[in-house]
Amino acid sequence: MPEPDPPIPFPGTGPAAVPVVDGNDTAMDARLLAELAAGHSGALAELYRRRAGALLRFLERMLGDRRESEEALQDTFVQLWRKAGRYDAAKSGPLTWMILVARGLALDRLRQRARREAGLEHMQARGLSDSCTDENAFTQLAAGENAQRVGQALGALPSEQRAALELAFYRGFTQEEIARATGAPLGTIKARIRRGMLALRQRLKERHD
Amino acid sequence: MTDTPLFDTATEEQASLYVLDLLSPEDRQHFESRLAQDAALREFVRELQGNLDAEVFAEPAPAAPLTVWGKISARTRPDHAAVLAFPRPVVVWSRRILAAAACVALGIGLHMWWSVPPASAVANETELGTNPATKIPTAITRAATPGPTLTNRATVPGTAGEVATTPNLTPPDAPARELEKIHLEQRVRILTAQVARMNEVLTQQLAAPSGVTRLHFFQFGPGGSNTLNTTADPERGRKLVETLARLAADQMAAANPPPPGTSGTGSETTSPNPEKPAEPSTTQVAVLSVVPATPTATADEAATLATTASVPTNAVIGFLNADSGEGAFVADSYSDGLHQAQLWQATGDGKIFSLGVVPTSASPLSVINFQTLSLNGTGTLFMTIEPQGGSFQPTGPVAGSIGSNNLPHP
Repeated sequence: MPEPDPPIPFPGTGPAAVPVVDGNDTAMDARLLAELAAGHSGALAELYRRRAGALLRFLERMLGDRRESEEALQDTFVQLWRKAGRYDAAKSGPLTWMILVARGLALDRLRQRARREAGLEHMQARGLSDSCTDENAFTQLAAGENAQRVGQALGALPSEQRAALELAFYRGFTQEEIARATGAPLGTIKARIRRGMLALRQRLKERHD
Repeated sequence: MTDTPLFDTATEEQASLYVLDLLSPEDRQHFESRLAQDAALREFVRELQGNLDAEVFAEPAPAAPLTVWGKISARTRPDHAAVLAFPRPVVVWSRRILAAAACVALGIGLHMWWSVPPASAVANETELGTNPATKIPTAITRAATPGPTLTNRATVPGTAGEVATTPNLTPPDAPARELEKIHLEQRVRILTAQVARMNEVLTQQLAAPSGVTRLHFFQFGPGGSNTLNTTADPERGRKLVETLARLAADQMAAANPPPPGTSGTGSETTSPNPEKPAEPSTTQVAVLSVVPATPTATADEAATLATTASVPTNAVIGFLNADSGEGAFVADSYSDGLHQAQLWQATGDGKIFSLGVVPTSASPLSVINFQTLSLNGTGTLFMTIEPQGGSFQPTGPVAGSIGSNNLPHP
């Protein structure tokens, strides 16, 4: 029996037929997830076309390795395919759910690779001591390559808030691990996370107003 | 974004930690039970989640990598490998396909018999070729030598059990009527061999969707053995296709057993709903063409319905379950090494999706599976010729299409 042909291309855009992907057009994503739950593989392809690039970028930020990020992206969409029926719009938006799936898979990989230790070492290599009271350390973190990898909104936050959110969101650090990594008390970390999330919320509101 | 009421610092902190999955399992459970009862808090949490959504999906987003999609497709459709791939074995369908194939072959034979040239034109020893007068392939014997008795007991559907038999071969100087019989006999023999060859391919590994098939494509092989050239007489070609479609559909319907659960009442009906009469086996016919030569149609014609009047040389035989969107077709393995045929679907709202490329195969005939999006009675299936490996969007000329007018409506 002949070998199956190489992978098929995913859906493309017809001549002025497909609208430009609107980052805020989550209604389409929700509809695609519903179609996915109904078993339409074409919906998966369209979802991939719309969101895979951004998810890959997100996974690269988490994993730092292109090849592994692509593997995680592959796992993500396979999970979306298998679990689309479990998506509950009452609990989260479609994009949030997709991020949850991708992030969960990436965190699994991080745990396996013991990246947290590497992350701590990375932060220590950048001049952050255990006591970490030096503001310059956070400035370095903000001005370093990490700043280029985060989004515009996150990158605009004060360095200590950004560091806390980044370690939580992209590295999967627990509150205690963030406190240990940054040398700040646990209560301070919680406050920074709260202020950082509210600042992001405010920036989004201003953008839409 | 809606204005949401402010919460106390502790609640805002809990919500932020919750969104970042930083709460302990106990705290998380407690917070979620609170969420279930507080709509304003749910809205607040949604806003915070939206922050992260916007962070991840900030524009401009990079393009999605093609290679990863291929692997995803292989993992999500393991039974197909690619959406379009060499099929897996489904023995039951092989009989139906054989029945349809036999019907098609007989139809071709009858048509050729109807258009038989004068006896003198076939008395010579020539190869299978095209009669210049009619441009229709003619089956011509190599030599008019006596051979074994050939008996053909095929029954043509709709002819109430008539059986066509053929006499022994007679010398070329027999009366014209006898020569016509000889000619028919020889053509039937060739067609029988072609059907046997087709059977050999189709019995290997077939997969076809279940359910009623009401849309038929038809194939007339790759260039050579059973090519049907309809450019000279497109109307004739169209009528032939329709005839064959009805024949094949009738045969398919006869070979199609009742779906599971529908015959529990002991009824003889084949309808999924015992209370509803069985639907006609087919009501529509369409032809999807695959053009091996340099086509001249443009991609802009993708949304228009191609008629059989413009069928160049090949067509595709296939089946489509309009409800599930599953389809399969027997296709010519067209590839010139630089290009491949690619199947697309244009939905009613103007979006175009790739259903995959037609894989190349050493076999002259392949059964190709595909999965369409929900059609809801509208949409267009069309095929274009793309660079090897396919394209992200239709770039090549349209080789054929089936518009929404030809798709069954719910």
